[in-house]
Amino acid sequence: MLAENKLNTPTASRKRKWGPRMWPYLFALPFVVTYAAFQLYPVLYSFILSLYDWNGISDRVFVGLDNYIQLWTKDKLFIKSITNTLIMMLMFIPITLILGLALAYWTFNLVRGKQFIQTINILPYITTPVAIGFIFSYLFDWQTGLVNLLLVKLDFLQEGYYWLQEEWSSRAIIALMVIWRNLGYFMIIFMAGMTTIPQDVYEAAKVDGATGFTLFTKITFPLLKNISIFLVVTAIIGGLQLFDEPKLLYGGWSGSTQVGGPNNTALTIIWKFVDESFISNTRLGYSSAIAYSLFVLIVVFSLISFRAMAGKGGG
Amino acid sequence: MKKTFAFKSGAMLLSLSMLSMALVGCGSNNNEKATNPQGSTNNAVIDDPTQLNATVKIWDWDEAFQQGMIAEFNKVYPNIKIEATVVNTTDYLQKLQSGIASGSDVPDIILGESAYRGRLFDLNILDNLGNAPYNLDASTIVEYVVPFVSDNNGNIVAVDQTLTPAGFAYRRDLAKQYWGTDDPAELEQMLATWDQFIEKGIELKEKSNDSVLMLPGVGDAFIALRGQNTDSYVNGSEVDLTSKLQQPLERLFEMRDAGILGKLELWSPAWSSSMSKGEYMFYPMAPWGAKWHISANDPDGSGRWGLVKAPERGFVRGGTAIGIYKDSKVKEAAWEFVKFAYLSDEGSLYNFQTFGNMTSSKAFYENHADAIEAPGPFDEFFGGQNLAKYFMDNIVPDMTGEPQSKYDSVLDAVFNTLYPLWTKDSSITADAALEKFKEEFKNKASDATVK
Repeated sequence: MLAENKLNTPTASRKRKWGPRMWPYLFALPFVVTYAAFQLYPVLYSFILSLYDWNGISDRVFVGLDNYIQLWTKDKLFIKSITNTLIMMLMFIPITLILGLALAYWTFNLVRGKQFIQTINILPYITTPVAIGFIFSYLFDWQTGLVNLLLVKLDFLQEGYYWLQEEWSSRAIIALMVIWRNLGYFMIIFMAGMTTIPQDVYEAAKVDGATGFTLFTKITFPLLKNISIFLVVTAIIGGLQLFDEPKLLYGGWSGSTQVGGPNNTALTIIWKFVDESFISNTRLGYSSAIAYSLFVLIVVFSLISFRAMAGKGGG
Repeated sequence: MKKTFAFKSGAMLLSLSMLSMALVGCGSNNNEKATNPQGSTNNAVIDDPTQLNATVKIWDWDEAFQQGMIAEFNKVYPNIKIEATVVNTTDYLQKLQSGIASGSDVPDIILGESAYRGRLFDLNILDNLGNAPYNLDASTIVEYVVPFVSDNNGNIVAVDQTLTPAGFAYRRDLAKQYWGTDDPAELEQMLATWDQFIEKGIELKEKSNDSVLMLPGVGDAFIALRGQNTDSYVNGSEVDLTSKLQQPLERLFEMRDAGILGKLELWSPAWSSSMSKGEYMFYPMAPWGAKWHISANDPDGSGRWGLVKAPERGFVRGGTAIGIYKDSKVKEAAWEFVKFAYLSDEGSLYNFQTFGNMTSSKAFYENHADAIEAPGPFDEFFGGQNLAKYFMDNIVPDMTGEPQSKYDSVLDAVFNTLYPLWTKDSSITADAALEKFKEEFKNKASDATVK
């Protein structure tokens, strides 16, 4: 009692400022400082940069919101890159989700070989994107790719199909690359979610006469709702930032500066950003405007998707 | 109690050290920028350059070249230390810009490969070599090279790494088989104009039953056609694509429609492996092509290659410009190295004999004519033909230079994007292609007015 009284006097509280109460702040300080210096500051700096015209070396010229206006009203390629990205997202997100869920459910109920299947499926996710890009561009090469050789040999086609230079097939191949790469990841996350479902729910349902499909739709799927929301939102965020796969599919060979694929149908927002700032031009201010517009887009899309999925059921 | 105190103080120390590291990282850049001297007050008149004491930084992608040349250089200039860092061509400009923008690591000697040379000159970071302390005299350089190493104001800002006149490398065995001769002089006569080239191409296609064609693809043909048109097409931000591309595109489509071009894309694995397979007769080739393309992709093909001038005239292919950074603190020393390696008789002789690089300094060819006469490292691969002599005597004389512009890389990028479509869809005409070209160009270079 006496000790407590002592602790609550004004002098004691002043001393306490540097005592145990400061430790949480001190421990958090390194991370916060590093975050502020390397993440927050560049984000704010980029916004300021987007109000200028700069090529990295000469002086900066203040242009205000001119970059944004030019970007949204006059740059056809930017609008095209947004539609391309959205189309490709529509192509790969639903498929990955459905296939990932199906694969997870099937693997989860396997008696033997579970570890093996899991390992095999996660391998594409940990393969470096550069290698994936090379391999896919070899596979689908017009003259010498394996896919064309097989198709011609099996008499499905007379001459090889120019996969990489047709508008829709280029998008399809990129979607294929993304699906192939991320299926294992989605599967693992779904399986983690399934382990949290208590087994007695299943047993009770089986006692009531429920079969496989009903079990899945009435028990597994609803109980995985939170995991699904997480995966959808992160898939949308990641999908809007699609860059590795298209760039490596088309820029694999050294010396090749083909940007955007056939008729710019594979141009994604980040690819346009990199193109403007490093490949074809050096307009750092303009590219910062692209980055900020993408930031706004991502916020809007993730909010919409989150509300749409979680809003109805209350999460 | 003791344990928690030690733990607490250890944690405190750790967090303070991380904090200080973060701050140091931020602070140091500003200091570097502030201490950059503007003038060359440190560099007074040098009595004996060979006794200069300095450390010079250079970024290059050719490690073997630097190792050999630096050793030679140090025999004459023992106190100048050259630090070579290997940087790939594909991200050279990006790394350079990041380095300059952040005020950190910038090399004293900068290489500008043809892919981004125009953009590099446009950044205005290379020193004018006509001024002191360099005092480079333009009349000592091979004429056609001067526009390739000058900026928009006509100042020479770089030295050519090696001459890159280009002709066509051809398969001797195929030429002999289908045309009855593999002699370069006779072939030159046979293919003196593009019309003759196309005629012979059709003949080749028929004689070989479509198994051998003239060039691997549209890309290869365009390299020659575009390079032959060296008139300037840029005036400030006005880009006259019509005058630059109309004629080459018409010729290109003529060739495509005649069926004498293959369907391969430049640099693809199929293109590389076609050299050993003998499916195509010609490949555009500059002196560096002997090492990096022909012998690399057809290692067993020694003796079955030759070099001939392209129809009408030679063209430039590739090339690298060596410049000195404007804010370098060791300009004299850097210039001594550049002079030695790329302009001096001594360095050029070593360069030529070891690497096959041909200097842009006219004096070398007068003083060391015997070096050119002697067999070069790849002559045997080319059936005993003296490549250096052929380039200098047959191809260089009627070549002209092309002024560099930052739009050059945009033009290349647009071409690279469009030509696969032209190969695939044979219904596209030259006019439609030109219109599409202009449209794509405008998309990429939105600040330019395109004609």
